[in-house]
Amino acid sequence: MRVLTGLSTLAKERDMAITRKIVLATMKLVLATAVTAGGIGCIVQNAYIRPLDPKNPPVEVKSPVKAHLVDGSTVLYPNGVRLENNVLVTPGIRYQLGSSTSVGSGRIPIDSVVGMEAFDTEVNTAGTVIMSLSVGALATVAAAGLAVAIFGSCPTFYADSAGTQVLQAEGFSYSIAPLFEKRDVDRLHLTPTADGRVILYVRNEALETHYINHLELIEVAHEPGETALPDQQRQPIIVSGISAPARVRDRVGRDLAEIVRAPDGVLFSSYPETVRSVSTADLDDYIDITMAAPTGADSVAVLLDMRNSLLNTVLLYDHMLGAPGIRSIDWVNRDLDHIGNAIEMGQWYNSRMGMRISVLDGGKYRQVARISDSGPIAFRDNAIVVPAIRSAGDSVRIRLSFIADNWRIDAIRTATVLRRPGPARIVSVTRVKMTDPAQNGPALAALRDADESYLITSPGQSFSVEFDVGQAAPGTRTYMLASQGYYTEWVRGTWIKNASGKAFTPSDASLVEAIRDWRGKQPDMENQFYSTRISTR
Amino acid sequence: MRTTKMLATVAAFAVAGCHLGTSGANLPVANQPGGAHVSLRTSTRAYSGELLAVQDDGVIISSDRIMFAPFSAIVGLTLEKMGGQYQLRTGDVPRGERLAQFRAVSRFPQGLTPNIQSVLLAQKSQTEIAVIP
Repeated sequence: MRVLTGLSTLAKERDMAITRKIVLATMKLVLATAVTAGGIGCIVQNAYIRPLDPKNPPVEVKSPVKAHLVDGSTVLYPNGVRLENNVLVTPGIRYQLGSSTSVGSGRIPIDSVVGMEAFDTEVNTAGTVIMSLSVGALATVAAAGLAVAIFGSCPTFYADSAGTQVLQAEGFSYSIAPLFEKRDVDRLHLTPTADGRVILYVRNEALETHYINHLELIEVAHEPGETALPDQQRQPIIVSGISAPARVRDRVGRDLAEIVRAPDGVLFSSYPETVRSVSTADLDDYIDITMAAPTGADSVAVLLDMRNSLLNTVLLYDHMLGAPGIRSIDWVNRDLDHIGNAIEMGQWYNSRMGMRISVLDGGKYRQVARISDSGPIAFRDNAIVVPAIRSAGDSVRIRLSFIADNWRIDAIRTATVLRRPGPARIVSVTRVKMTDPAQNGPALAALRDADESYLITSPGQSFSVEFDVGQAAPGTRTYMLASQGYYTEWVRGTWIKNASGKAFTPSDASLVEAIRDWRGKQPDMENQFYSTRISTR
Repeated sequence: MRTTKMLATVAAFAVAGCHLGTSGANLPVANQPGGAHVSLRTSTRAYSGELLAVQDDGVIISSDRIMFAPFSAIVGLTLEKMGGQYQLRTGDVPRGERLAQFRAVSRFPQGLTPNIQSVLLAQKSQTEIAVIP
């Protein structure tokens, strides 16, 4: 059989997402213009976190702001506030603790501020069913207990297993702005309930706002003993003839056979010297795999069970968002909402991050596939389909290349028998159960289609979704979760306080800086990251 | 097509000539230094005043006295002109983002430091915060 590889489907999905966003942005512009011109006089609106003007540094907040000071005073900025060199320079109205009489605020160092709130309004064109932050907490305060949490990146999906919720997947990792909205497909390891339901528990355990557009199940029918996985295009493929590679070594020649033999929690990470020696001229680590060439097949698959390290999180938190401090709000809400900026950022990110898969062809490695980063929380199963190009010794030689220390790999195996399933059965969400039952209906409507309607969740929120899948013989069905959406990070008070003010530029130099930063903080960060999930209700 | 329906809906609202929902600038707490005006009920009586602070286990309000109402004692709580999401019923114990949401509209989202607490108590001629049973 012939199995085609490539990125056309991904590219098409990305193009469609961008097109949809352009249409939506245009509609909003039309609506805004009409409102401004008096052509229409009624809009649906919500209070929300206000955007800032990215083209006018120092940062200027134009909506009303309230600042809470260390000494108990409160300062009102009815017309917004401007931040210059870590000082709130706009004259405000200050109320001393215990006084109802106001005085002029003068200039207030940001060090004196324990929290600020911005009050703004948005036009709700998207039919949002939950406005999770009706009052936006711009930098609400360490006292809230949230600022210490660093657990991050996208919604997490759990399934019940003998009374315990077991992590299954994380959705649309690193989709940090609307234009980066993407569709993820994750294989689930679960068994439907006796009455034929798949129940997933969706959590927001991060300091993020999640915009979940669409959830659906992909049911793949197969024979017992076969394994169904998403391939590099996130399309289902069924594999068998699974075995360990004949040889698997990393860039410095370490034999990884025992480390990646099985999904057992023993993880590959890049050799420290490889990470230490990165430079703008050479950012990569790689793993070389040798497998016996199959007879009569022109494609083979590399099966990877892996997740990202926290390198990506350092890049996002400390360099993209943390270093610019309060200006990162502009960067996410304004800069990345512009097509050109988003494309520049997306092209750079895609060219560097993720994993590139090459096959030795005529003495040179030729890239045949690429997979995206999948997040640092949940392990993801992938089947990377590559052409079975024969090399010396009747073998197929495959190279996995990636930014040094970007991945934690639990298992690498190979498969020589591949087949595409028949048309997959798509199972839509049947029921949604929110904390407030009154929201179940709107939430279901928001999740059933990939459209402009989003279910929005904030830190600590969770809900469950149910899919009526019916009955099937044991071992003959595999379920994959398709999730689509994006998220926005909450800017932490500590980021604002410790910011260097340096705007993030997508470049290899920035990446080298992030890798060196990551090396220094890796042990502490890993300990803290995996212990600071925000509890959900 | 959903987009068309959405635009049609927006246009219909437009013709009706109204604003639906809350403008951030018009929220009471956006325009005055105090916290939101709170009304709460326990099983025995009702209280109202300014929402001073929100703790993990209850709220502190300023009425004729500075009082702490544990969530366990509250059978109903509303914040004036803040919308339906700022309500608590019997047994509600807000956590995570919802707790932060309430904190954000209190007078002191950072909590009552000893200094703040002593000033507030002195103003009411109290030596300690009264606890609503």
